[in-house]
Amino acid sequence: MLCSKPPAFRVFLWGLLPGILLTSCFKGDIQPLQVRTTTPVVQPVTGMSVMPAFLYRGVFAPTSGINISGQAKISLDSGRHLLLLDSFSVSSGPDLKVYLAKEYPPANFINLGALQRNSGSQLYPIPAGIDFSAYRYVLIHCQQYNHLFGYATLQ
Amino acid sequence: MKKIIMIALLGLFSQQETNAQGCSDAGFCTLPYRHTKAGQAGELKKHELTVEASYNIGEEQTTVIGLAIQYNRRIGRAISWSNKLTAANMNGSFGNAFNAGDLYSTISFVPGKGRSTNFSLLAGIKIPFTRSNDKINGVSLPMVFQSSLGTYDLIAGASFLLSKWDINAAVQVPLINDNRNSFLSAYSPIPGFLSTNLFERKADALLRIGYPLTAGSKWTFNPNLLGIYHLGKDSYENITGKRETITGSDGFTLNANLQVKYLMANNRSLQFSVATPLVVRDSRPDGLTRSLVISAGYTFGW
Repeated sequence: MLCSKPPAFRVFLWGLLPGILLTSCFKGDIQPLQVRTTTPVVQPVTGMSVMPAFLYRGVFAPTSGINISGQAKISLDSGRHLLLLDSFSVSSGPDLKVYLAKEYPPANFINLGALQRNSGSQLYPIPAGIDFSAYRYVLIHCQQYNHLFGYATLQ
Repeated sequence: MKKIIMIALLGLFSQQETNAQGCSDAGFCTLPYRHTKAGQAGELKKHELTVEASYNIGEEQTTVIGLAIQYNRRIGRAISWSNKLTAANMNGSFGNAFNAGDLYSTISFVPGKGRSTNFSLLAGIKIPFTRSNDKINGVSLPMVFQSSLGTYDLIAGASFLLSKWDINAAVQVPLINDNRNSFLSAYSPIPGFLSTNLFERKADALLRIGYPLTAGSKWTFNPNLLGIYHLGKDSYENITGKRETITGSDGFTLNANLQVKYLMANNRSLQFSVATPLVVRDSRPDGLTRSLVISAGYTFGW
């Protein structure tokens, strides 16, 4: 028991707690954590100066119980491909993602990110090197519940 | 010998430049170290209620305020059943998020019909209240902003006194992964966080060695070293839908921890804990990274 320890030891121990608190509590003493980051593979879209000709396009069709409308259009702007959801609208979902896929339901796909909003036109950058003859579908997919909301076949 | 140990612990605690992982939400930092004898002050009551709050500094200077309420029910002399609900508020570069966390339900068992106080076993489960996919304004959040890992875990452990050393060993194994996190760093508006899209986390093993000391009849100090070994590489689903293991996410973490208990009365006590990391894994995508943990709790028994 501590009570039976020599006085010097007790003094040392009682000094320990405030010492720890003082050295630990100052936020400025804590260095930023070194977290390894991944270089983004997709640069954000900053807008298109001139609406280019569309290479592929398709009309969205719904799955059961879902309302969806609008078109998916692929363009090439300044050397990179972009997906435009044009005049787009879809039912709300908790975790809707935009996929470029080889089939639906999706098994082989490129995740283009979260759906930006449920209605209105919106742009998504597409990673380089995509073979559009293989990735023929644009999907609106709820990732959290693995439920397909709609698809557009690119032509 | 004891002075040497205390000096070593003080030296470890006083490191001011840390870039490391602290205690996880695995409940490891709050594993009980009580070996109180029957009739002794501070003996476990039949019913105990504990409320606890903690202040944590996580990845990218994200501050995490953790809240917990725990009910402990002693069943006879040998068994104690504990249920702990957690919640957390995260504030950082993505904004502010709050949600319920997990339910920890554990049973501790003292062999020998409760007569022995030197050895106990612990078994339990962790049940998540979220699928770890909370968002702010529709923006997917990295794991440090999630109040739960989204996994159903099995927890098993043992606690024993060896001479005056207090030793805890435990494992936490994810049984069901319900993590639906959708954070991809490639699409993040804020850099500095690892991708954790559909994150899958591996198991942890823990060993804590402490040297409990008492001062008078009211104060108990438990300076301890807490080692956590992450038993495999975590993984996530990349933008092509392929699972990718995270290099450096396995391995050893070592924390210095001081637990302090003040017995206010025979049925009331205050607990404090301070922890900081000493050794860390290279990659820590799970959001449990802490450079500092400070917690305080109040227990009432009847």
